[in-house]
Amino acid sequence: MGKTIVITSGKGGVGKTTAVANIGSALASMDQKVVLVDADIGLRNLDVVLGLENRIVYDIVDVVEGRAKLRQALIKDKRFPNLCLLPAAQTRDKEAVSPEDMIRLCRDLREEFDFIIIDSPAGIERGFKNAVTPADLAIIVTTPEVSAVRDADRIVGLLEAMEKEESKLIVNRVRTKLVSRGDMLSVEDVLDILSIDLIGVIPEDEHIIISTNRGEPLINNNSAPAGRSFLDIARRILGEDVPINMYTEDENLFTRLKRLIGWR
Amino acid sequence: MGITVKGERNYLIIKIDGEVGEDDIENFKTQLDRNKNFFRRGKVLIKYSGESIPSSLLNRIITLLSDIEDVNIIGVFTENTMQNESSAIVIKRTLRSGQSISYNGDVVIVGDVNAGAEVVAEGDIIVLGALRGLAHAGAMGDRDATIYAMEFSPVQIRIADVIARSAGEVKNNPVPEIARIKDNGIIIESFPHGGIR
Repeated sequence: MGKTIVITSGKGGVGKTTAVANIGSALASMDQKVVLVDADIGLRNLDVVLGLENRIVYDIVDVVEGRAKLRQALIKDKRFPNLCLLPAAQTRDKEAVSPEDMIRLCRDLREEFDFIIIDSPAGIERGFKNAVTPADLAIIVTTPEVSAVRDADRIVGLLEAMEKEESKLIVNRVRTKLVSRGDMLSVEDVLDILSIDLIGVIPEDEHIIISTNRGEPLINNNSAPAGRSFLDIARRILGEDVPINMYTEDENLFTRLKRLIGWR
Repeated sequence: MGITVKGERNYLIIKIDGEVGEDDIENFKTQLDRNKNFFRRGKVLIKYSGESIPSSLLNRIITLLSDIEDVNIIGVFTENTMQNESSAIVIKRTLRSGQSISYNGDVVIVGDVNAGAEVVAEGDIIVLGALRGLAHAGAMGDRDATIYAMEFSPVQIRIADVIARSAGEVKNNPVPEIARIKDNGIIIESFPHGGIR
């Protein structure tokens, strides 16, 4: 029986879709069978970030409305044989799917996959309820900005009201230099306000922009700090005790080589 | 200190604070004589700030009042009875953005009140955590209501009809503080050991 994880945030643009793509491919690279479900109907992005847009034939609404079988709508990622995508519909809206439909869908997916990762839309309306209702675990993504933390707090409150007990936090796009100058909220500041468990910290990393534009997950790129952080999150999801590590920008191949040969 | 009289909604409240001397009683008597019409047919509450009111004092006040036509003493409250009278609700969790509590008594929150959350109380508000959201004490007009928090960084606080906005400064070492009305404005001061009064 698979585990259903929703990745949500309240605020838009904090990195939900990037987190879904990278955590999903990281888990798949660790021999887990993973399906990514795009619940952002009408504003689908996950397929683009994964570079699978041109392979969509059927989508989640087709499955819910019975025009396609689940198996037909799932797209296999050729780079990660264990990774599948169930894309959102672009020509419909959130009302096309109900929370009950999502529960049914995830029940079917559970039979075949170890992890079902749902990409939640921004906001707190129907689309959010669709994405969150079937989940066993909610991962909330925020950035160290007051507005994003405020929205994350609202989301934690809503999850509590829905009796979703297990929520974890990812603090995304942290810029160590700004934090040390006191110009950015630190991870501790964010945790102080939200008081939920931290599952990962992702540094600001320009590799992310390149990878999302190319449609290639970052985790294969060893020199990308964000990619390494996502791999750590995947290992924590699998139950490993991995300490939170703030990978830095200058930890590239060259500096690592320098460190290995002991030359500074 | 002494004896003060004020009107509150449907009642006249005679407040006895601390030590009451002979001159306080004389003062009260002249006040009564001057404002006989004000007291006539009124409902009177006596509030005493100590634990129990000395019977000699109470007797003298009642005798003075009984000179006035149709005065109706409906109750004598001391600090003990006042505590029993007031009702409080205890919320044992953090109030998050978008969540709100309103209650017709005191509200105690064992947790934080985050920015975007609201607490509205007819009485006092006590936050055993950080107050970052909106708190409105004495919402039905009680200007004696107070707001207490272990860490005070609210966006805005209101007591009765007075509103105070945050100055926006960040405190590095937060201390417990209490807010109340003084001279028509809200003042926030650190909460002393052993409490206030």
